[in-house]
Amino acid sequence: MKPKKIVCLCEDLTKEDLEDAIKNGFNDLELLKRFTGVCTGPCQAKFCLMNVIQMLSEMNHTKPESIGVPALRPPFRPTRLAVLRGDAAEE
Amino acid sequence: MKNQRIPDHPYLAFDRGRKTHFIFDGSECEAYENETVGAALVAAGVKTISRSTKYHRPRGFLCFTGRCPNCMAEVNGIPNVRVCREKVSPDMIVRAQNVFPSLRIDLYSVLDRLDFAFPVGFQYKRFIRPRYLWPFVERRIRSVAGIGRLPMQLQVKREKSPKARPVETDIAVVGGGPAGISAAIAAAETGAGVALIDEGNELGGHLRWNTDMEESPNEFAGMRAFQIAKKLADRLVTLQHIRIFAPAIAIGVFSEGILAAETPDGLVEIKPKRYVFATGCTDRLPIFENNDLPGIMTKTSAQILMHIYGVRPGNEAAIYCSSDEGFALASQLLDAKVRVNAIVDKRKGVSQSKTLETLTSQEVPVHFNSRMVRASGRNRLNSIQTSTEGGHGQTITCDTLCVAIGRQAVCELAQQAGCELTYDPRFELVRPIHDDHMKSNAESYVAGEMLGTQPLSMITLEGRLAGLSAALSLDLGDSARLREQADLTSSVFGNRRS
Repeated sequence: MKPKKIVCLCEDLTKEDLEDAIKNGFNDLELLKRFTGVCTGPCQAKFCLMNVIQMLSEMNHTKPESIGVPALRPPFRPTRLAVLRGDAAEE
Repeated sequence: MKNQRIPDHPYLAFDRGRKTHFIFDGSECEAYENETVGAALVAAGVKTISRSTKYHRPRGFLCFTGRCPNCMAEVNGIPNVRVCREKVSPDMIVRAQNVFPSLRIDLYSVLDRLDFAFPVGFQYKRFIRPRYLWPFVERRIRSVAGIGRLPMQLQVKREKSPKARPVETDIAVVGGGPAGISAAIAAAETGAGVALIDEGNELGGHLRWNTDMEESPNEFAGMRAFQIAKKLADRLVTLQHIRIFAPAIAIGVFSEGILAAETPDGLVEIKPKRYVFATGCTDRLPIFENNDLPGIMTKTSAQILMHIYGVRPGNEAAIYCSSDEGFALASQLLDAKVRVNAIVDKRKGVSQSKTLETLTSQEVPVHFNSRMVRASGRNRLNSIQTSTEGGHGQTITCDTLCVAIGRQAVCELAQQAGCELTYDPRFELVRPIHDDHMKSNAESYVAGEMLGTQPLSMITLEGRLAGLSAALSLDLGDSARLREQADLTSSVFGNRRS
């Protein structure tokens, strides 16, 4: 295994990947999300969000309060379609 | 294979149920009925459970709460099942996904070394010309990077699921930890109808998997955390007006303020007049080299394994921490007969924890003012390297590293219910805003560890306050009681309006 500092487990993003993206101008949480896919994997930002906020505030020289929070959409946990469909009573 | 189940624990007894077995990647794995697939695999010494999306790096159990992406596997043909929470059933067939050809040897892991050829966003730029080749290339990229394969109709029996049940109530409390239970009790005592939703099989939240002794002089003094969980849950049962949904996973808050929750008998749609969110925290994953190696897990993960399932997370552990929680975890590991080779503490050595004295007397080395630099090992953790400020680094042998560095609040549901979130620099977490009466917006109240609150006594205070305020906004209960509770809470916290 090549040594890597993983920030986002879902999308295999390393600290360097995100630093490069921020240096290349994707220095806003929403932009970074769309370009790299951070906060959009199966865990939906449950493990990366605080690290990403910290990195953005350090590299932009701003307070972490000003970074903002992405919209955290449902479902909280991946849910099977069969559960959402709920049709057994009809069959 | 060795058995990692704890035969006798000083404080806990485990009801594992009858012996059974399931198939994991072609070989039989021994399990007990009351275990999850994940717990049985850890008990059998399995470290790697999946391969990562892009580089096919080996991944192990990280969080054990069904929140991280690491333990997704194919169960009976259904992809992306979090096996850490999936109950064992006989003749279950579990297969690792995203591996080619096998979990142990994955040819695509060569991508880990060829990472320079695939920078972030490469799929937007590279291989898109000539155009006629792109459909072919895209299919290849998808098959290498996909998470799981959709089941074919013939392989998987069409599942039947009961129709969603609507539930109307005055107050819905989301989260059955100490804050949620306190809120539910306080609200129900005013005569409000309460629905309590929790993902665990039993109520108690993080207290359930903790064996710490409560030392501060309050009503719980001298009890261990899991005993407090039981006491709180027992108190709930004696009250009327409370409906408990557990295990139930709150999926989201949708339009018109309807909360959908998945229960073993199908979906429930809860439509409350007020919400109390007490959803707690998850652990963070600190950044250092190879922080994703199998064997590295969160504090919560180690505690759930040891104290809920009675399984040792490893044989020789190290702990990386930034608070006294690390010391408590060390003594819990020692209780489970796991050797603790080192505690790596980021702080400057100012702790006055009593546990620390006990640990020092048991010759557990504690390295203050140290940071993790690197985790090493081929496909599983073998050793860690640390560096001490102004000093030399150290190499510590271990097969398990438990991290207890900061928390992240679980705010998804609160945000969906319209609560505004803010970064709180004091606790370094993103939390919903709230006033002195724990009100976050017109319909929602928040409480507990998700706000960064700690010691238990404060968490329960906040919970009671949130429950009372929610009830009072529905003209239930009396305002004198609320004011009394609010004064008590703010005398402890100071004014924390934000």
